Amino acid sequence: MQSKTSLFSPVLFRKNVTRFAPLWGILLGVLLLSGPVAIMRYSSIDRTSIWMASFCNGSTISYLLMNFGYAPLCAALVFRYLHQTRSAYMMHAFPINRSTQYVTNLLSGLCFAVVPFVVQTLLSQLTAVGFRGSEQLWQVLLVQLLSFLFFYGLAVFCMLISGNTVIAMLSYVALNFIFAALPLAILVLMRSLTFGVNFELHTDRLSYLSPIIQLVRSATFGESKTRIGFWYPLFGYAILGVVLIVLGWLHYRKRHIEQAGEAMAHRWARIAFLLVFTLSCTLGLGMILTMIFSLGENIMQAAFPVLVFFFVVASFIGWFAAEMMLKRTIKVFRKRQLLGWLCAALVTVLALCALRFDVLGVQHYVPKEEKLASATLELGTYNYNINENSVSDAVIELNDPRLLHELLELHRDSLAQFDLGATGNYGYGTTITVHYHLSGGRTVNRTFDVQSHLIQPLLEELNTPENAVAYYDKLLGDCSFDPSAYIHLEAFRIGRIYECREPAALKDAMLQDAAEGNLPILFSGLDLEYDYYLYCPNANIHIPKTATHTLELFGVFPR
Amino acid sequence: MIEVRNITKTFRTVRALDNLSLTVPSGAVYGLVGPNGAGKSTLIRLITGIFRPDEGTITIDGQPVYENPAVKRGIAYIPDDVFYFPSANLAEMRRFYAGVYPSFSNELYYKMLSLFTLNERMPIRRFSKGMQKQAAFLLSIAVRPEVLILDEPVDGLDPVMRRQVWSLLMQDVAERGTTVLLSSHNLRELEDVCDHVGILHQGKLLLERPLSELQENVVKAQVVFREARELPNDLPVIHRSANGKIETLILRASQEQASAALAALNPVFYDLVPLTLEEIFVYELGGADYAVKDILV
Repeated sequence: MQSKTSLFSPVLFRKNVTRFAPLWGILLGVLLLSGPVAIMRYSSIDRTSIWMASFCNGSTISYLLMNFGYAPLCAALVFRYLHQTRSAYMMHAFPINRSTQYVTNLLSGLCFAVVPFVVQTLLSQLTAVGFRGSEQLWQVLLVQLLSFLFFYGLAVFCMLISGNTVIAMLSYVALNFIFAALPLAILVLMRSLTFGVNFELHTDRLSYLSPIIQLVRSATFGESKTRIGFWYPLFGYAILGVVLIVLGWLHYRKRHIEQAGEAMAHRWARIAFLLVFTLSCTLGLGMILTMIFSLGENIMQAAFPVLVFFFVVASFIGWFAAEMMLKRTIKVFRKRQLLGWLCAALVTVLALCALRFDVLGVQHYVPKEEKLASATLELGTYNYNINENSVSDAVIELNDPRLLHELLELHRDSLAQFDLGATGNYGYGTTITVHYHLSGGRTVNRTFDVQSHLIQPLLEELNTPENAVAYYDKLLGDCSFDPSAYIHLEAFRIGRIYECREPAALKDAMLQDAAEGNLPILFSGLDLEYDYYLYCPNANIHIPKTATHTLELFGVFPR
Repeated sequence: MIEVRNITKTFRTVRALDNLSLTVPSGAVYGLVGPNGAGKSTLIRLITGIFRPDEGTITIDGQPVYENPAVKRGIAYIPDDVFYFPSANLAEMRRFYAGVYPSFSNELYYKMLSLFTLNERMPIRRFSKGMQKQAAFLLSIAVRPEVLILDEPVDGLDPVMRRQVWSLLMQDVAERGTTVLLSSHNLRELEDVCDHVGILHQGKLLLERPLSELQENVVKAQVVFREARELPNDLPVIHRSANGKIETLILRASQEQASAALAALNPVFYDLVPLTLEEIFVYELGGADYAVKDILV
């Protein structure tokens, strides 16, 4: 009869806690210095809620980064025995079953962090008596606990699927970045090898695949630390951490202990490791090799056969390096492995050729006029007020069938130019980005060059005061002038700053100037040649000297 | 009683154990011998519940071993390469063993500690290999196990300590009836302590018998005939060699049967000599295509 035992071994727990006391002791010391001691230092200077908010915001980011490094350390210490044959054999010879070992070790690692976190928060609360906003310290504790749970869960999972601590730690770091980096690299490659196809890089969405980046990014800006921006992902990651812990436990129950020391301790993990490592190496190393051996040219400018050659070389290096790590020998150049690499190389070549020669007809696709409802045009180098020296992103909505026809003609002309031998969308005109809105609701995005003289008629037709006002009305509306906008008076060279107390009046004055042709110009980057800058949350706007209404409003700026 | 039934264990493409069955009677001292790579350590790790068998069952007194702490509480295991928690000293290991094994006896531990020259407060990693082995023995015997499993137990010990360890082991077996399974390359030492022997080769059990049965059924005879002659076909000769007029015969027969058969041949002289374990293995299996010589030290 199978014995019924507890899932917790006090002996093992005591052994872990006492053996690794220096680790959590140091953490506790650091936390006490950064928590209660820091609060005590400032208690006689600043007890405002603003100070406390700033303190908590800074702490949040620090603890996220700290947990990113501390959690895998805890996981490595309590589960390292699985990666050494002697310790793995000995621990499994003891009368402690696997579930008990797993749960006890897991709780030990959790305690290394949870106990210091709780102690720090309690002492911080005591020292923060009299501070306004000290309740935010509980939120910091929640951040510490939830983020640790996720990072720890991920690290434990990596320790379990791996048979080697170094590989486990590398996997942990990779899993924090690779799912964001790989799609990004693929999109960059697709952009480089296709003409005109504007593959969207949704970096906001991609960052969710990189937990540490997403959490730090959303925690960096105090005002954006909303439920949706920060807490929801944090809770989501914490739940994911729990799921990974459960998966780790399920794996541990079936784990072959003899796999201690191997790179990966499970068949599917070995396959995943081989494929992901090869793909990463092919993309990363392929791009680097192409750039190095093409005398510093970018990927697009390199000859296609050269690019294919280096990607195949990179796939070779990636595949066999992964095999060497998995098999712990350099003798991996055998028939089976060579066949595997040949498959990987073939897929690489086919994918590159498919992209370059537009096998699916994506880059030569031009929407049919009858299916086109409207289009949005972005002109990279043209401002709406035809000031060629300014740099702005003019966005024009096109609904007129005649203008849409002209736009499609421009697109076809551009493709024809490319097919005649141009190597890419660089260097012979104006870059425009078009968002075709099809009648079915689908949007097709393309970026291509058109010769400057070809786009002029289209721009002149669009450059009417009505269009300009409509455009700026929308733009200024997007700017959402609020009391936080302010004016920087460069004319006096003293950087005086005024708060915008009448945003509606300012907006009306700017629109009036726009209607008369004195258009404010959006700018990116500082340009001290100009006189006035309006800073608002979403844009910086330069007010030209000719803008009489806006300037007048500045002159009698109300108190 | 340890019962291993039709065990198969494969490491990727290597079949370490192949449909192996073995029985260790209660209270027996069972010696497991075999050349390097025969599967001894794998079998021991399966019996101690470290490895999960691909096929077959392993039970101790009818209870499965794998993932069964109740059964494993009665097993003490000393691997060939002993492991202690890094930087732990003997006192810390004692506390751990005492917490994990309910049968652990502090009294016995301290009694035996006085026999060994071990510093309880010194980190075990600073011990010599032999001292680490002694520490493992100390802890394992103090568990007072029902089953003691030893993988190359006296490797690294000096001759005096070897004798002391075997003596302690035998004393424990005699007092408590502990079942012992041990593996070794050294047949001469096994002969002194084992009452059952199993020989492993390439993942299979070639032979498993009580030692006494082996020794009773094989005898060595030194014979001098008046003149060279052919031996009758019904004489169970395993091996025949000659040195001048003296012939050495290895016979698969009891002492009485061999004596009667040889007397019937009317030799000038004959004498029956007991065989060592080493000789039994050589002569029993010498004709087979097995690397028996590799087993021998």
